[in-house]
Amino acid sequence: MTRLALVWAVCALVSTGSAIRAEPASSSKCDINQHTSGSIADVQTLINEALGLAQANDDLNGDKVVNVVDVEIEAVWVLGFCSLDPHTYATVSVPVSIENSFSPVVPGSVTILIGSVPVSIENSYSPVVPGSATVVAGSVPVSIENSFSPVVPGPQTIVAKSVPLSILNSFSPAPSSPQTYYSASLRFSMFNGVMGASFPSALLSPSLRFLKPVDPAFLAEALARGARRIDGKPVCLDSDGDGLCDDDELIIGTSPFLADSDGDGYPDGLEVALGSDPLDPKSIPESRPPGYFATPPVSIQNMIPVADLPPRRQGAIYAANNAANNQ
Amino acid sequence: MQLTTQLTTNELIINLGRTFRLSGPALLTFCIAAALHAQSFPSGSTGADGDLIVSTAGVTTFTATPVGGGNIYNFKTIQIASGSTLRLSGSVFSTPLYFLAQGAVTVAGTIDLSGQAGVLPATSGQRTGPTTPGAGGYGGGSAAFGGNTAQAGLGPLGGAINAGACFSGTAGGGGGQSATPFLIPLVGGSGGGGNAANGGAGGGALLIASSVSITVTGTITADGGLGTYTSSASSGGGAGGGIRLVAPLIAGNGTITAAGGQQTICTTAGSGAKGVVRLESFNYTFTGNTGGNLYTASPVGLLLPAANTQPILAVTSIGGVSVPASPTGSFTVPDVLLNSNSPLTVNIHATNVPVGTVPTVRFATQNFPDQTITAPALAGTLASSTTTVTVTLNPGYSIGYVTATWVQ
Repeated sequence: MTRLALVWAVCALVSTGSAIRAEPASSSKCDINQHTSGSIADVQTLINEALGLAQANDDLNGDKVVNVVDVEIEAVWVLGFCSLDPHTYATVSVPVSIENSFSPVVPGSVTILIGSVPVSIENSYSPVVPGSATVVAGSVPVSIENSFSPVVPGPQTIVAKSVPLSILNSFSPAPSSPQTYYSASLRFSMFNGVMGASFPSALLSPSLRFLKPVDPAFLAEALARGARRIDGKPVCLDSDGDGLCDDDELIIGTSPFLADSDGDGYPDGLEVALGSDPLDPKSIPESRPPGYFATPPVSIQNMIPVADLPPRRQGAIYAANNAANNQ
Repeated sequence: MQLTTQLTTNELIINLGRTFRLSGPALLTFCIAAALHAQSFPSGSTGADGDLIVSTAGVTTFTATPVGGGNIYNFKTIQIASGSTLRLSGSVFSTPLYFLAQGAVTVAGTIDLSGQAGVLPATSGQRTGPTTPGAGGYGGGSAAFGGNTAQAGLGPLGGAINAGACFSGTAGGGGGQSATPFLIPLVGGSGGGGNAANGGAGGGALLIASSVSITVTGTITADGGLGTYTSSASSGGGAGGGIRLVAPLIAGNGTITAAGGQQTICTTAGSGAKGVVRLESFNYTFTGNTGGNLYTASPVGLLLPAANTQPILAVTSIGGVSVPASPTGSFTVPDVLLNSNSPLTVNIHATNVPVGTVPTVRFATQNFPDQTITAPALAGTLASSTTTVTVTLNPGYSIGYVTATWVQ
């Protein structure tokens, strides 16, 4: 109960940070605000539908243990818009908590499984002090801020920030009709207590998707708006690990399940990133270094005494020195 | 079939080609592996640079240039013995390094491309410039000192000077990493922002490709330099660099790391971004530790930059005094000794930097106001362009460096 109380307390703290921005929608189907409009419960319901759950509850993974590796939707940052209405959008913040436990905290890496996704926790401090650690969920790096010191076995909380999950909503209405796209940034807390022999599954993966056909026009719109990027980081499902989201590949015409669609030896994502055609084996990417250069510092000793400088310059230097010394 | 030859000698010369002799006692393991793997990967090495063998205990700073110049080395084999460290320093190489090998690569010792940790000005008693990155990385921003403001970290996404609250003051921001998961192009980490201390420098960038194998039982590190914190001074950590290993087999139980330099107290504001470790192989048996963002994949094309196309910018002379090709930035033995109270011409030379680019020259002098000068645009050709600025240097010790940005 102590753990629960703590987790819920943390959840309560972070769940207050909601932000809503919306403009009038021209279509009711296109109106994200009918789902969000400040109501976290509605957003939670949507996400639970994506997860295949009937309703939100405290025990999302059905392991009869609340808050043990459950995805608790406290606040999800949702970006929504309609493909046919470029003026409708909304955001809302919803936190999610995941309880994790391993003990004792030691330097090095600890790997746990959340669902089928291995999550590596790098703890580079011994003893653990306020600082940061890292969680890698799939290929999605997550920065964890550790605000407790020292970390000891027992109820402790690590708050991970900006865990990007993407949810593509293409199930309704039919293609070519207004649709809504969601992208969720989740916050979760990790519980530092006793590690169980087996770790319950969690309903968390780097990308959550509705398992319905995707309307390419909608996806093109989504991509054009960068809607699947949060804080500049892509949020996507990359089945073949070529650096392109599956949805991007459907639009571009490359295979989501073949890393090198044209067989020229270069992954599709690399070709797109470097400007070559991933569908043309004769089109080879070119590597260009960053347009930035800094020379190594040069040390200089000017042996001229200040007294040998022209009086005017001496005055300027002394004035500058006085100003510096008086700061 | 595998043929192994081991030789021990004080000075090893291999008659198969050029040899880099970086040590006294040398151990050569020359392996010719044929058809060991169903899938092959040609590193493309010509072997023109011979073997790279480091077996001297302690740190050996790598300064060799490859046959034909540039930053792409064509080795036969690479062997870093246990207890030996090969330092790839940003004070020697401003660009990423590419080590291609025909044969096996074994790293039982250390290949060090880490960034220098942040420095407090008071520890040196003199104004210091950007901290030293690993080869291909970027320096940490200078500290505020003597009334002069601190400087942002160098490099793309360099850390800001004030990135957030840190107790009663602010912290320099951590350096960023602009590399893609493919590490193409190969990019080092940017420097952390200066504050009351110099920012940590970024980790460097290194590609090692072998047609046979890469075995790491020691360490390859391109960690960013730590940020510095005291009760009155804090600076950002450097970003981790980039390490890309490509071979049919990647094995060993050592450490391959490109972690960001932490600001141990004000982590949110000041920690450097993670670098990239990309390990490409058909047979991956590496069981050691990694730091930074790890990507494993089958080998893809190396996509090496064309020969001698890496941008280079250098201060060639100040007041008629030549600047060493690899300046130390140290005041113990200054790179340039002057005795002048007159305006001096600073000559700047660029290679593979677009003509028209406008460099910025900065001189920081102990206890005197910094001087930042915008140079005239580079003129000449892409292969060779120049510009000059005129500066009257203050008495005493100064640090000078040049930066430039352009659109690729």
